[in-house]
Amino acid sequence: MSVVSFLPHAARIAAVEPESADTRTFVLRLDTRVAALDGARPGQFVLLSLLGHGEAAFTLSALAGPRAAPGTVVVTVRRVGSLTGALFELPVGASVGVRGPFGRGFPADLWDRPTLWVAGGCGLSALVAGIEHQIDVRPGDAPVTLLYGAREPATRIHRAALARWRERPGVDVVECVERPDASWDGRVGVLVDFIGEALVTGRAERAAVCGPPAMLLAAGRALGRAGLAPENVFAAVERYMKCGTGLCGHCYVNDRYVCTDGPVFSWAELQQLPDAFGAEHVAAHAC
Amino acid sequence: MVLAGRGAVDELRAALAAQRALIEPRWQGDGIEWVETTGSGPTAALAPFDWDVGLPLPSPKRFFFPPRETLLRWHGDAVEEVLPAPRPFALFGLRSCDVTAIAYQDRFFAADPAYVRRRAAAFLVVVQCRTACAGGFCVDVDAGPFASSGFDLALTLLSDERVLLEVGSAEGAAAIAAARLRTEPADARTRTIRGEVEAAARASFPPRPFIARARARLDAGEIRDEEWQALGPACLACTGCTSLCPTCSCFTMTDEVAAGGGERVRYWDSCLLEGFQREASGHHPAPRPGDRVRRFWYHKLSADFVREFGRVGCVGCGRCDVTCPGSIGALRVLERLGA
Repeated sequence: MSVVSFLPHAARIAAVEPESADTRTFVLRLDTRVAALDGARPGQFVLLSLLGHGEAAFTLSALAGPRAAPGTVVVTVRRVGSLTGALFELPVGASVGVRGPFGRGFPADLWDRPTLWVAGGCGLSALVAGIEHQIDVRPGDAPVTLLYGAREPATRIHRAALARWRERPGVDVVECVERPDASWDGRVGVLVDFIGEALVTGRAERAAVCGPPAMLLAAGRALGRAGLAPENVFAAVERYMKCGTGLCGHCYVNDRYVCTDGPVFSWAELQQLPDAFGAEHVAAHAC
Repeated sequence: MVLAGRGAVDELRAALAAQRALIEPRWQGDGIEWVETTGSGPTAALAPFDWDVGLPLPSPKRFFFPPRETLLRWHGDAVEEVLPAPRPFALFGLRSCDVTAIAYQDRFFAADPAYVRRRAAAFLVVVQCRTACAGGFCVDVDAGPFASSGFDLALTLLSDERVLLEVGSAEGAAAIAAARLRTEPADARTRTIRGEVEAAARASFPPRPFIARARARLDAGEIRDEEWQALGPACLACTGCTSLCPTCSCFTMTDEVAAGGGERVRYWDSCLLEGFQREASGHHPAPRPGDRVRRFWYHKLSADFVREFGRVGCVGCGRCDVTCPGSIGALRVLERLGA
């Protein structure tokens, strides 16, 4: 077995794109290109290192290729803790570090079948690279559907991508918000309420989901009720983690690690992992 | 497998100490510790081996996976990886539970750069247990009282005068040769005596049928959430069990900043601490103490981990029962779950 390294690849912030009041996309340029990062797959993640602040895990929100230049690493970050707080204060050109890519991304045979992507809030950042990839590589104009739910219109992220996808043949973007404002004339409600409609619209045979844990659980169950087999539903699961290499123990879910066995799990796998949804799982079974 | 006089063991220790640090269990004050016995003096000054010293309360894991370890060091933007360059050392007097735990951690940490370097510097000598220790239950978790693998050498005291040396590696055989020990091949009668000593050691453990029952319930998913939640209040999150446990391996990484630079350091962590899995968003996969107690014992006792590590995590050393201020060490938990 080859040993891991905790030494990050040196990189600099090349660009910062605002997404919402608390969320930005950071384009990082590696000092030296890293083949493994250029070859990262949709759903894989990196550990972003800020000296003095530690590391935190972020799914790649664009992959080297059509959407990002080789030698760049693109992550979308919500300002929520101490490391992300420090990151938001850094100017373009500042030094950061990157380790990865880590984890098993979305399954390689996902791309050629009609798929419903279900994203709650900033969970869209974990799916965006997969959606882009599927739109680029799908055979013909096979249907791709995104159901995206945000708390309110102002918290919607990846708006440029949403607009771009709407222009592509066969791509349907279904959006909803929980708290509309005067600017919103779209769907209002919680995301799970629109899963049935989105499945029918896109004739989806598979689904991929990311969002807050309670939403993830509710969406997975709704997709099951709507007729998708657990083997055809994939969830990007998130956990606090330190090492990314299956060693630190923080991301254990039963006998699996989110970092190396995930972060994408099929619903069939998650059904064997009662700790995947922790207290939410217990609550869901109580009712 | 060779036979030698009891005095040969001290000759072996002296020969090992000439080449590497010799670290052995020794009484220190009112506890048993791992002590470097080579010191700086001549190896001839080694005290005779203490055959009766028990299991040190600290496990030997810190020799491979220290409580604090620097992973990176930086000055300005220049970052370098820090890797240990350990001097060779011998752990002399390991018990079967601990050498079983080392083999378990060898599999767990096979990709860890610091662990594999420290482990490559180690020479492991087991003393086979002739009798049960208080609170040890290795026999119920397939970790003793005799070790069958994972060591360079294993010693069995067959009588007051005779010691059986089992060779577990090429380095072990080389150590016997380098020490120029007077040995004789173990004949069939010697092997029979060894078998009798091991059988007597096994028979000295009290029967604890609740262990198999508790493990079977755990593996069948029969333990109800209420049972775990009932154990929760007894966990004070002191991390005594996880610190002493020879197979616990969780760590955290933190940056320690100094003028102009700093270090990225890892420390032992504990899954029983409230913050272990708490996420920046506030979401917590194991929010109640009982959830964390359940996860910990699942990790130690579930057969689910056999797939990856070849055995369950618990080696029955009993240290968690000694240290737990809330009376939920392994035996006490197994007793409740297997009642």
